[in-house]
Amino acid sequence: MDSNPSDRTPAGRKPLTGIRIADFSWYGVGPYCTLMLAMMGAEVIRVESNTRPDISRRPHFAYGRTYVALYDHLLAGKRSITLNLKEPQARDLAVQLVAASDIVVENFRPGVMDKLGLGFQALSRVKADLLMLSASANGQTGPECRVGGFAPIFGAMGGLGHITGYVDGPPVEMRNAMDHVSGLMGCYALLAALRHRQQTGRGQHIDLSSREVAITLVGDALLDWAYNGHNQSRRGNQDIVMAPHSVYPARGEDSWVAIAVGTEQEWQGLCEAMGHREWATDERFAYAYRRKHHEVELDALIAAWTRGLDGHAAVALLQAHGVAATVSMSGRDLVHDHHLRERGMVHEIRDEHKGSRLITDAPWRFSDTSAGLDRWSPEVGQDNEYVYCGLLGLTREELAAMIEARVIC
Amino acid sequence: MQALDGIQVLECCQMFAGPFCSRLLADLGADVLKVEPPGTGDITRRRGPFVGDVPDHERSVPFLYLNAGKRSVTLNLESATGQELLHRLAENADVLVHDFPVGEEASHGLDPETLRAINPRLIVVSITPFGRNGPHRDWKAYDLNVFHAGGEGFLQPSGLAWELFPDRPPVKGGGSLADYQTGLTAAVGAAAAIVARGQAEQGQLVDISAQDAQLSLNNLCVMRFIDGVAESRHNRSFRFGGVVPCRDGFVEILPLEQHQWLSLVKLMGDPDWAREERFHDPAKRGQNGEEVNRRIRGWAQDKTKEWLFREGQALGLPVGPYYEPSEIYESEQLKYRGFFQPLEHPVAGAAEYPSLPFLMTDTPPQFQRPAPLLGEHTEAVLRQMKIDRAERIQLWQAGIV
Repeated sequence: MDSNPSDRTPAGRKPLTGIRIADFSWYGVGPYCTLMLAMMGAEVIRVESNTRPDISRRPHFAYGRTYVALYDHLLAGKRSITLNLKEPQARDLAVQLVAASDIVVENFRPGVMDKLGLGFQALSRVKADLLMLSASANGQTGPECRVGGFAPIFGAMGGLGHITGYVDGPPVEMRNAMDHVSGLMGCYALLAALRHRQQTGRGQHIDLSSREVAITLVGDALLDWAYNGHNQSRRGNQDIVMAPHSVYPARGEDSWVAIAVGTEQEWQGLCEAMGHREWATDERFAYAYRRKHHEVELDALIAAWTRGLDGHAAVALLQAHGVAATVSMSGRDLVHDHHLRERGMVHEIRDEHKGSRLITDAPWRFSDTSAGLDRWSPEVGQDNEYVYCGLLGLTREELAAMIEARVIC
Repeated sequence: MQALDGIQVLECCQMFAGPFCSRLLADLGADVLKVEPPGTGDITRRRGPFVGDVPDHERSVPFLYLNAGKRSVTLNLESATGQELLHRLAENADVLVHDFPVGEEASHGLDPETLRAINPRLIVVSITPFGRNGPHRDWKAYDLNVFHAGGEGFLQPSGLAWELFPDRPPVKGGGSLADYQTGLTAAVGAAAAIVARGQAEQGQLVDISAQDAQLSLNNLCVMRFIDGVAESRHNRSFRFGGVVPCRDGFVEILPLEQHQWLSLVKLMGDPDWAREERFHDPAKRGQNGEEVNRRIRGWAQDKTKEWLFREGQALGLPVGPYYEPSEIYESEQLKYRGFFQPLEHPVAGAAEYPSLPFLMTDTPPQFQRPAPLLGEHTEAVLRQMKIDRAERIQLWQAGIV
């Protein structure tokens, strides 16, 4: 049962109430997409198998994790069934599931679903208005479609890695957020396709490339090459126009404040807050143009000031003077943030099996429908009976036989 | 035929986040009318780089990218008449996207109550740094601030950049990553509201907090904190692999699974050191990451990006070069996918624009037109509202349009 103390949106109908998703995805991209869809009310039935445990279901030495991440947020709000897709008999069950669903999401290497007899062509024979999202690193076809990849790799190939980092440093590897934003883009495509289906009754296949997602997010830099033959590179925390615009050390271990000044009014606010009203009329710093020229000097002056202050106190003071300032927030900062609690973005959820825990909720607040998590992540195969017997009409004996035969496994 | 055919969008946004939201809608067929302040227009128009390095309202590269596919009308929303004109446009719109702070909505005719009274079917997407309620509601933030307030800023960089500069400040995502992510989140919210309205016939207000958008994408740091791990730049690097400098730049090598590690060993020519227990055993390998990296980096020094990519991929090793924009344009895969599409702009000229990162079999995304000139469609829009020529001249002279 859901326990949500903060008053967020009206309970009841969600945008995707009544939509069912056969979720064959794993790792990061697909599961984040279906997490968003689950938050919007879709019933997400995740197809997994004990014969190939997902990354969130096992320890992983390279990630530095020696325990099983049972409470992996990516699986929240979903149902789980087991099905060993390598078994020939599994195909029939998968097809039955798709026939009873609206949407299929998968992010296997291109060709895998086809080989399993679960490609779009095959599945749309069973369900004519099927919406299917296939997410991969580079797309389903093409000379590099077999190039597998993970977030840091498509972030690198997509230009986002190159453009991130210190001016005099190497590129920066993109992490899980890169997977997640790809999944979010997939979500956008699916919602648009759903609208089209509402209008016309027609389904379709969406072929998403995570590498292209990365490019889209630095598209203005790409266009600079196309128009000007200019290869943009890393800028650290700086901006091409605004100054000051950087991250400054605050008092304490690994504590930082991000400050950006865009208007003259904000500049005056900063001068006031720092107790240097005279800088507001100092020729060196009049207008962004001059401040940019004296940026190094200015950054040193600001850092000297912030170093003596608690980060949160500095931010509160600056914001009170109309200056754009935020702490560079750690997990601890986010969990303790009053604003996020009041907004209900961070709140407790109670799960009947696992007790209560803190979650981050949906990134949209709808006035007339609601969105958010109702339940935590499922155990592997938790919903076998509900799906196989309840939805697909298998008898208990048939289910048991499939389990015995290690088809449902 | 496009997925969002017939959807009318009004956009009252500047810079990157809001405009990216409605750019996404336009690429799937929505008719997007961008409302800009008369005279200056969207402040992005003043932001470089500029085409041919000629600063001009119509040559801003970020503006051209973010506003492809839209029409433009200039309206002074600080004037009552300007607001009336906006309201007349809103009568027939499906979606209105804006990024005005809550405290400034009423004085610009954008408060939800007014809009709902004009058009109950209207979906209003409100984009703000910290959302429409809460103690930080009126706080200011730019892309830099939002990125650092959302969880990922504190954690960047990890890997090689952190190794080289462990005492430096955390660094934001390149370009305007936070703003782009906010815009995408807003587009998802708008699309969800469109789908929901399909059944309900009622519009609604969609509250997008840029901080929430980042946090949702970066929530693993919160999850880890709850599970007892305070994640930081100092403890999140991959134990081995990652950014590897090579002869002509950098590649990313991720031999995370055992079979991938063995592929890397093979690529390196089966060196003796790889047979040592501390490197061969996966658990021990993680504890000797520094040593592993020293050897990988030493070996990669004289290899090119393309060689590492081609030969590594052939052996099943996850590896990818750090490409610069020029290299991305050369990609055979992207050419095959038709990812770059030609667009010709009347002032800036023609170029290959990055399009959407997905194909759709029934309703392929496509550009409808290039970015608009400032107020390019004001005349046509006013005429459509049956405002006669004398009146149009008056409005222009008074600075309303």
